[in-house]
Amino acid sequence: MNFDELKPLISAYVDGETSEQETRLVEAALDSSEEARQYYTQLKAISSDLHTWQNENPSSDVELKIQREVFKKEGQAMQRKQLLPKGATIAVAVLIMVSAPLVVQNYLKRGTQSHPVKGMITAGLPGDVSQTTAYPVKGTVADARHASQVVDEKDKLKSRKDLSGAAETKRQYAPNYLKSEYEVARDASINLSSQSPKSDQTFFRARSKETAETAKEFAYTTTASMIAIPGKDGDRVAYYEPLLPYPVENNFNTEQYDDQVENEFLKVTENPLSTFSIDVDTASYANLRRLLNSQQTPPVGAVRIEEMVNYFVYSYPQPKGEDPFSVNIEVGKAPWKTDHLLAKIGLQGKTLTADTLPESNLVFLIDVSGSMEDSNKLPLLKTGFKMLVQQLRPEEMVSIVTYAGNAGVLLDSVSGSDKQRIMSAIDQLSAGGSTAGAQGILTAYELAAKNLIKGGNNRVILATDGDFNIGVSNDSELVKIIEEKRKQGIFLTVLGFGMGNYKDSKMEKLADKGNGNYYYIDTEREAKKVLVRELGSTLFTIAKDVKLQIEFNPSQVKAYRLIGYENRMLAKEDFNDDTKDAGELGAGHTVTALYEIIPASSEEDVGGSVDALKYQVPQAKPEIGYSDEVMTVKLRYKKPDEEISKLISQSVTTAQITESPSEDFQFSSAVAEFGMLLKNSKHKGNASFEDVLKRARAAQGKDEWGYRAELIDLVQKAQTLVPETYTTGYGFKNAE
Amino acid sequence: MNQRSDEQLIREYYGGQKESFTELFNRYKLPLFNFARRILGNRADAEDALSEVFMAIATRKYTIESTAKFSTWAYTVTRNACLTCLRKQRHTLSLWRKRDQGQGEEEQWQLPDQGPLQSEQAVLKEKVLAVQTALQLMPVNLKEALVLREYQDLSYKDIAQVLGCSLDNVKILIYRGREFLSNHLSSHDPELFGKEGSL
Repeated sequence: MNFDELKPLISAYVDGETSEQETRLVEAALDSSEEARQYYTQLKAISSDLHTWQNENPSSDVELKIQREVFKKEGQAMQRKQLLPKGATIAVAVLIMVSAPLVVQNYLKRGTQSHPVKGMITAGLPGDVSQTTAYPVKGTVADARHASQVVDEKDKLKSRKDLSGAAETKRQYAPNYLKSEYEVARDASINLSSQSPKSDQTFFRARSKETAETAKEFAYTTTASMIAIPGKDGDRVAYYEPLLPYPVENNFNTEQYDDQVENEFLKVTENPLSTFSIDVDTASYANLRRLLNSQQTPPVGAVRIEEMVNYFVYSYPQPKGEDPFSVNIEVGKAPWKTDHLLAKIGLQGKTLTADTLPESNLVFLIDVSGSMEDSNKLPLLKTGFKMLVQQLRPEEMVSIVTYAGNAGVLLDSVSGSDKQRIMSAIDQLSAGGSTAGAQGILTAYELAAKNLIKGGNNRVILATDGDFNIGVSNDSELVKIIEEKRKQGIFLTVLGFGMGNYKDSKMEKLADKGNGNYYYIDTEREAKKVLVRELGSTLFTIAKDVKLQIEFNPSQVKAYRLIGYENRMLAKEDFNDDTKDAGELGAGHTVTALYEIIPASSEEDVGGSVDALKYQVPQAKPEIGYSDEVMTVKLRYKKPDEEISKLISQSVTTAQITESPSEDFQFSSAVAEFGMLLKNSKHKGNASFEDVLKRARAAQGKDEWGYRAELIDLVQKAQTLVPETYTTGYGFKNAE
Repeated sequence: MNQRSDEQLIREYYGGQKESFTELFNRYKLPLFNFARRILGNRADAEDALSEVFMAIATRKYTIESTAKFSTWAYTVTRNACLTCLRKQRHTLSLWRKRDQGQGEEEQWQLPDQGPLQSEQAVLKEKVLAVQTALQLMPVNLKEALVLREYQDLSYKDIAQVLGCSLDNVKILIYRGREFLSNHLSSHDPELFGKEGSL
């Protein structure tokens, strides 16, 4: 085969569109011929040149014009259809008879606001106004059901289709509080029937809130759907609000959160060891912030206290010696229950300097599916990544994989110094299509494996709203794939974007299983925090599989409770088992865990007691030393490229219990208290938003980036959103 | 939890849910507009083409029962709108040419505000202009195929459907499009596109 014949094949090969045989042919040529290689790179270069011409936006007035024209057309089609088909006419007549009482009421209520429209067909109402309004409520509903059963199936379908076309109306009349008894009864019956979509009553649902909202979304006004009522007395026009063919979900909000059962108090005599994996994620806090800022009460499942606490930076000292992190323990009074103690365990990861940073092989996996279109998704992602690209050094190799429908490689291992190329690749990202998340993840890992840097930082950075639905979309299958890949030394960072169909639970799981971390990016500010200021910890892992095991001393501690980390709990045996996965620590990361402790002297009933064993003689308590120790904290970690863990341990004595806790202690406890309030935790004791505010304000400290000030703002917002009884626990105090 | 497919959306829209139209519109306005923009060479005509496509959707031109994917259907309609427009343009060719060679009036390129990259950006801007000119000169049958591949990221199979030709044909069209570009880009400014100039 001569070279000219080969060229079209190489061109197809670049697009990944060659058959198996052709692929072999091309690859053989690429191996053997310099000419072929040159041609291949030339084609690649052309492709990247082409992409310097970025997507443009149609002007917004054109967009508006198109939408307006389309809906105008819609309206016309509607009118024609209403008048023409025979079946539909019958259906409309039935509708009118059935909905007459409603129509008349609306008519009366709207009074002068409803204007008869010229050219509408003249007709009369069945019965006069006083008669129709006098219909007994129950009878009307029953009649409605009966009447619509009369209409044969075909007509019913037709009329539904026609009517539903006019679903959007702007309601300017009849505020909700003016509901008549009839409407109340009707709405109630509709609520019932909306659970069974086949019920005919759903057909007549009126004045639904969600359609009003949808209507607002189209920034244009249709006239309210009008119906001419046939009758001998003259023109009458009524307004009806027909129903969509099937019940619509309230607001298409399909966010998913895993419910977490809170950690309980455990008796030290029965469970002297508490074992868990660290969690450096902060996504929960950012997500809460988004919810609270949009005036929503966060779902309990969205509150992960450890992630809230870890969102903030604490001033722990840098590690000395060989260990990649320092361990800092502080014990003081639990602010929300002063007869309890609170132990704060803080890890500080070593901060890397430019000359100690390893080489990196970064694969950005970017979701460009249709759902990413919103301004707080892809556009924010682009801004964020551009900020990140500015930070890159020549040692960082960047690849970009996009996925939507099918996964594609946009950049294959470009040096961080070639900023312009990376930028223009980011610029040309645009949303469209559905999400083949699994395929994307596979492609990204393949690419990362191909460009693997031994001993370097190999990482896939997944940016998505988490809505996977094609291919290996099953959570557990995906997790399996990722678990396999992490053994090759490839880490995963998950960046969550957007809202509405945000899949919090899935993303956390992915990051957790992929030896990675997980951030939620809701604003440019947050993008800056994760991708610029804390880039080191986002991208460079200094210790992996970091596990903590705390042994409590029963002579000092009666019971303890780990606050948060519910989905990070490990069995006590897992601590020494190096095959068990755990959390990763990034350069400069701080991780904080809080234990609420009931002192041994406390009279409090912890519950959960077991009867004495029948067949075993209770062992006499041996006299041991260490009686002044509260607990021993043990830590295991592995260096990023090693498989054998190292152990650190540190004990705390009663003498270390402080009366004047540090600012960090105060602040982290305030955040935890805030979390318990949002979760409406049964362990919140005397927690209140006021106390949280007071402590957070007092411990605000330097707060260089304003993160702590932001928390204070959020607490105030939550105060207005979460019911007052929550905050004081007043009415519920003895209920539990 | 599922993101609704295009086909599902249009079914819902034809069933009466207008918000599904908005969703479709948001999904497709950018790809379709830019496809037309690159084929036609100017924004105004591209906006007309875009409008035509969505009117076709609104007037129920897409048959729900059809086995064609919505996306390929939409590209086909856009392409037809473009071809019609080009046919009209032929009569007013000289005028369009003049206007398009000026390029300056249209806001082609918005510079993101990154200070240190200014000189690189100037080069980039020049490159974009060269690419635009080369595409403008390219025979439309090559251009369609290449644009669908390079910018719209369609598979050869889908391109074959849109263009109504065979897979082998698509392969050749794209190949020839690239050859055309490689000649034109390198002859346009060998320094700017130095790498490709060698062949």
